[in-house]
This record gives sequence, C-alpha cells and structure tokens, in this order.
Amino acid sequence: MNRPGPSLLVAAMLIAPTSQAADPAPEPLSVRADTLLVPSAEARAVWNQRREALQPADATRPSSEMHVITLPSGEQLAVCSTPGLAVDNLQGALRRGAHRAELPR
Amino acid sequence: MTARRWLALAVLLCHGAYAQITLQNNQVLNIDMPAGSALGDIRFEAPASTRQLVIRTTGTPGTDIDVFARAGRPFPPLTDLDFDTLFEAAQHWSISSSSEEVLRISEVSRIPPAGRTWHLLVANFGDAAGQATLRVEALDTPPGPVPIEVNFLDGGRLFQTDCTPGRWTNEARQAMQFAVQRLSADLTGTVPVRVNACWVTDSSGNSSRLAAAGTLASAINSPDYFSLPGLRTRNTWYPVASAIQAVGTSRCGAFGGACTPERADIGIIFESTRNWSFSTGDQPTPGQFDFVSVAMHELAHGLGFQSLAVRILREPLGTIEFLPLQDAYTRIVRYITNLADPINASVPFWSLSPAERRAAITQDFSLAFGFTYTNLIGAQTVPFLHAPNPVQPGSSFSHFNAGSEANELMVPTTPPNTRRRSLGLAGEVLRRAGWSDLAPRDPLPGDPYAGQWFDPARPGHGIDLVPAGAPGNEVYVLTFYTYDESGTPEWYLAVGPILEGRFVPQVNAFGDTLVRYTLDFVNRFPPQRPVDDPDFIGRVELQFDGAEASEPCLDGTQRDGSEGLGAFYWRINGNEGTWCMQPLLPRALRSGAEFTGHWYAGDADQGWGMSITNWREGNADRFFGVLYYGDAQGQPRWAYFIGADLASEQPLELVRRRGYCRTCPPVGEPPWTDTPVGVVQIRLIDTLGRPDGGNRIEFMLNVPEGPGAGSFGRGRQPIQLLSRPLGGG
Repeated sequence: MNRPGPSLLVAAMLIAPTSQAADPAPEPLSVRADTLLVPSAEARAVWNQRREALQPADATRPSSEMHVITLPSGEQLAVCSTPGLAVDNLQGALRRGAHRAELPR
Repeated sequence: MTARRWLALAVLLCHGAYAQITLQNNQVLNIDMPAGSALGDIRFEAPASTRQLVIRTTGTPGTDIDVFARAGRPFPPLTDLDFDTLFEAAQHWSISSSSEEVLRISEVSRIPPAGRTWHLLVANFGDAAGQATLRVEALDTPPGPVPIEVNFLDGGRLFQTDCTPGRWTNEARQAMQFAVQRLSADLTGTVPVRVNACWVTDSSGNSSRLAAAGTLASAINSPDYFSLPGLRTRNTWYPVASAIQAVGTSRCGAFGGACTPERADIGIIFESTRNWSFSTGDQPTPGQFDFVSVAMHELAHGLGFQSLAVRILREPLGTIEFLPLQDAYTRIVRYITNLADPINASVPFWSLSPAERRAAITQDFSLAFGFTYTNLIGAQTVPFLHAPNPVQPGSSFSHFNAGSEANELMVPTTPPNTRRRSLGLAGEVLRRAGWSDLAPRDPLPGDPYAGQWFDPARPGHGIDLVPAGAPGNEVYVLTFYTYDESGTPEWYLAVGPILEGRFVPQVNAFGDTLVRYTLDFVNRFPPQRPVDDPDFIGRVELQFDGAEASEPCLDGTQRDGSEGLGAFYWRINGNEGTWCMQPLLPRALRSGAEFTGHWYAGDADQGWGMSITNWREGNADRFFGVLYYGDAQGQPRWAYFIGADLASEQPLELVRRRGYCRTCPPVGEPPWTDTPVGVVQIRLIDTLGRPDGGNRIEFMLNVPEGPGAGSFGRGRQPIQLLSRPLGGG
C-alpha cells in the first residue's frame, strides 16, 4: 500500500472539514453600554404601549375548515373549505400609522 | 444653510462615530447595561461557509434586552437614532419583552448570512439595569427539520370558540405529535413553529365541521405597514410560521411583546363529536376519519399552503375578493395561457386583472404552480390548482386539482377511510412559498435617483434628494420645498443614509427628523438654528424599496415609475401625509455636463443655498433651480428660476410661488400663482463644484408685502457643491 507523501498529508489537513464546535471559545469581552438610547422611563412606557399596538391581532376565525358532507350514496366525505384569513388581521393593527404615536420629549 | 452640520455628519459616518467591537465565533460579550441603554457597533465577520448565523442575547432579570442586526454598512450612530429610525435601519431584530432573544439568520432570509460583515446593536429597553451577554455563532450546517411545538389546550379559547377540556387523551396527543413530525420531516427551518391545538364540541349537533385551522398572524415588508425587512419579497403577505423563518425569530421576537402561549403561529381545532381514528399505523380504519391526515392537511394550510390574498367568501356565496397585495402562495401561482404547453406558456396569476383572475379561478386546468415535477406516468408537468366552475366556497385556489394530483395531501376532499400522511407536492409548494431558498427573493435596491422628486397628485411641492460624502458611505440631503397653511413657500431639511432603499434620517436633539430652521443673518453666526419649540414636530420617512405597491402609489394617479417611486411620509406638527414621489426628470434627459445637486456658498456664508437640476432638450440645455433663503422674519422660504445656459450669467427671473397647503387639495389649473420677486444670475462651469471652480451666483429678491416682507441677496458670490458631484460631461 502506498502511503501518501507529506505534501498530500498537508493538503488533506488543509481541506479537512473543521468543526467549529471543537474550536476553543475565545476569551469573553466586557464592555459597558452607556449611550442612552431612550430619554426617559415615560418614553419607554409609551414605546412599549406602541409596540403592543403593533401586534397583528390573532385571527378571529380559522382560515381553513374541513366539513363533513354526506354523498347521495351515503358515503361521507371531508371537504376542506378555505374562506381565507380575516382581513382585519392583515389590515388592522399593522397599519403603519399605529406606530407613529408621539413619544414624550 | 446647514452645511457645517451636514458635513460633520458625513465625516462621522465616514469614520465611524463610536467604538467598534469585533466578536469572534462563539465569543461572549458581557455588557453592563443601564436602563434604556444601547450598545453598537458590534461586528461579526460571517465566514463564506456560513449557512446559519445564530445571535443570542441574555439579560439579568428585570432587563428587556433586544437585539438588532444588519449586514453591510453599520448602523448610524446611536446619537442619530430613535425608536422609529432604528427600525428603519435594521434588517433583523428580536424585540420580545423578555430578557432573552435569539436571532437565526439563514439562507431563507432576504440577505443570506455568508461572507458578510454583520453589525449588531443591543439595547436594554427595560426599567432596570443589568448585565447582558451576547454571543454569535456561525454554523456551516444548513437548517434541519423545522421544530414544531404543540400546545395542547385543555380549556381556554381558540378562534373565539371554547376549547373542550379533557379531550387530549394520550392517543390523541400521540397522533397529533405524529402528524407534526411528518410535516417537520419535510420542511426545514430554524425557528420553532408553535401550534395551539384544541378540541371543540358542537353541542347543537348542527355543525358539519370536522376540523379547522389557520395562521394566527401574518407579516409583510411594505411601506404602509410595520415592515419586517428580513422577508424575502416585499409587498407580499406571509403566514407567520414561514415569516419567522425568514426574519429569524419568533412571533413575539418579530413583533415585540410577551411570548405568551396564546401568541402561537397556527391554531387548529378538532370537532370532538366526530368518529376519529387516532391510529398511527398504516391500515385505514373503515368509517373513521384519520386524525393524522386531517391534522396534516389543516396544518399545511397554516404553514402556508393557502392564499391569504384571494378570499372566496360564503356570503355572498362564491364571492371572490382580492387584497391589494399578494401573498407568498399566490405569488408562485401562474395562469396557463396554452394548456398544450403548461410548462412554458404561463404568466403570473397576479399580473392578471381582477376580472381575469376571477375567470381563471373558475376554470380548471388554468392555474398551476410555477414549477415542474414528474407525475405518476413519468411525464414532466406542472401541479394544477383546484379551480372548478362554479367556484367552491373556500376550497377553490388553495388546493391541488383532485383530478391531476389525486393522491396528494392537499386535495380538497378526503373520504373517511383514506390516509394521506405525506406532505408530498405540497412540500414543494411550501418551499417555494417561503420555506426554502427556492422561494422568490427580491434583490436589494440600488441607489435611488439623485435629484428632484415630486408627486403628480401634489404638483408644486417637491423634494430634492442628493448624496453627499464618499460613495458607499454617503448621506443624503433631503430638502422638502412646500407651502404652509396659507400657501406661502417654506422648506424643511433632513439628512441621513439610505439603507436598502430606506432613508434613515438623523434625529436631532429635539426629536425631529424633518427639521425646520429659523434664520437670522444679522445677529448670529451661523444664521440657521433648528426650531426647538417643544410643540414643533417634524418627521419624515422615505422608502423606495417596494414603494410601487404602497397605498399612495396605488391611488390611480398616472406616474412614471420607470426610475423608481418613493413612498414619502411627512409629519409637520399635527398634519401628516404619505405621498408617492417620482423623479421630476427621466435620467435619459440628464445627459451631458451634470450640475444637478445642492449648492452653497461655503462655511463662511451659511444659511442659504440652492438646488439645481439640469437637462438636455434636443440640443439645448435647460436648468431649474430652487433658491432657499430666510425672509425678514427668519422663516425658511424659497423661490425658483428656470434658464437655458448655466454659464452665461444671463439675468433670470426669480419667482415666488404661492401654492396650496400640504393637506389641501390642489385647486385650479395650475393650483398656484407665480410672482416675480427678483433677478438671479448664475455661472456654473465646474461640474465638480469645487470652491475655486469659478461657479458663482448673484441675486436679489424682494418680497414687497406681507409677513416676512423684505429683501435678500448676494453679489457675485462663489458657490460650491455641498452634495457629491454627479458626474457627466
């Protein structure tokens, strides 16, 4: 059996897949975030309210339904009906104006 | 004008306004986070082999740690951002109200993670200070089967219906988990899909319902909405289960708020009075409905095998409605123009008129998905949609044709003793409807048209939008020339980068992004100051990406969108509007020497300036200028001039236009009156706009009466480009 020469061994090492999980994790870094992004607790509260207002409302009805019908032969059949999503869910709370409520200054 | 401020901003953006932290793979960053604090710019270089980028943040109790990410240019400095503009700048975020967030950016996202510099911003929106950790992991493995988690509701409500307690028996749970595993095995994803499942009981005995399901929310990237920019295509609705794969976080992470069990992605209900088989074995049970088949079918609708934009109503029976914007499922549906060659002869269904679409939906073998497969007899064909005539209330369009795809899970009818437990071709549909890299992906927009924009529905108002600074790090200067409530001309200014087709304006110290200035050329230098009245509100947004489908651009007004459109939102005090802007001049006319840009007299003479737009008509040069100045009361005013020879210094009329207010309808033809108020002489010879390039202006205008009456002028003043030279001859 021919043994691979050194250059082939090096090449094999270079192209061998490396497992990132096997890499030692680098030393942690530490830093302080001292740039205030939000001017006040009041502003944050308003923002949280706004954020809540941005939630797309849960659909109030299913968008697809399977119903049982009985054929003239007496056999039952499940028929899927897809009336579509409640439009409010698509066009309601997500409207862009909803997130433009004024922040306190 | 405000040259010093603009230039300072450009310098900041070019050189980075705050310290960078570069993280290595799996390196932990510990962040001391006061309440209401943020940290950026944190960078991560994703290797070219990256298939998934996993960004995790964890905070101590009481914090509300959120994470934002973008590839390419860094975020603007924190000092320039507020809540709204932060979301304009970010491509991904996870903003639940908890102290832990996970973002998983993959090839399903609009911007794949590999080989890019990712910029991260971590914020603590909570009221408590605490510690946060951030870790980024680049994985070179593709996403695996999508995790689907079932919340078995024992009571409570779903779809406004009471869930019956005590019905989730062990065998029912096992059957449900079996169904979910079959679906999961055929779809890849990184973000767990959450399903709320409940039993309902028809106490009246009148209902024919067997089961029902649906997405609990939907997401879109569109100027009119709270946009999720990680979605692959703009102006397209996605059910939240597939949307979260692209945006890389859970529903609560994408939209914010608490991650409560109610905020699942899909809801499914089963009728307890039916005769169900919960068997997970292979043999059908005669006379019983196969729970696994029904659950898989209904869940597949919730995963995205359903049109959200095509609605087929029961009342009035068979009514077909279309939403203004399409969805990811509808987007891959094609109308077959020649049934003899369905693979090649088709057009996008949504490109048809509403009447044509209605006709197509009631014409079997007229609609098919836009991909091919090998059918049972070995032929290449396309999967057809269920489109019977008359339309079936509901089942049309969102199922396969039961004739051509008879054995598929997603045909509209299922006999009780039938087992269909493979996603089959529906998996191919879902993958193209947002569940894989096979789905359509809109390219990122390039730089917008530089120059004047206007809304044909609002003639006389306009914006001048020009870049300043080095290419790749430029900021744009936006000047909004418009009229106040009385029709008097006035102007506002905004400055900021354009990131992925969105203008991200700098927020000033008073919380305004659309800034009004007062000007005092006598008593102070520089003469301009932003209005600091706490009652003044100035906000602007300008989005080019997807603007063509935004509501203001679909108002029926004829516009030329060949060079792009812009959805322009403005708010000035209590009034606001969103206009659809188009370039004033086609780019093709702007051949030859290009003087288009924003000109000023240098830092020693700030507070006034002009926008120039020049073009060719046949062999003749033409130009249009807007002169910005301050009146005798220090209010920002403008006048315009039109000429034919930029170098001649021919005297040109300076014209003051009295128009109509921003919220007033344009009345009259034209809806303004023009009054000559002075003379201007222009000499522009150096397209680079250098301070010593020989460009100059001389003007004098006089407004004889009314508020702010007085004169303003300069004599043979050298002028230079504030904006970047746009090149040309």
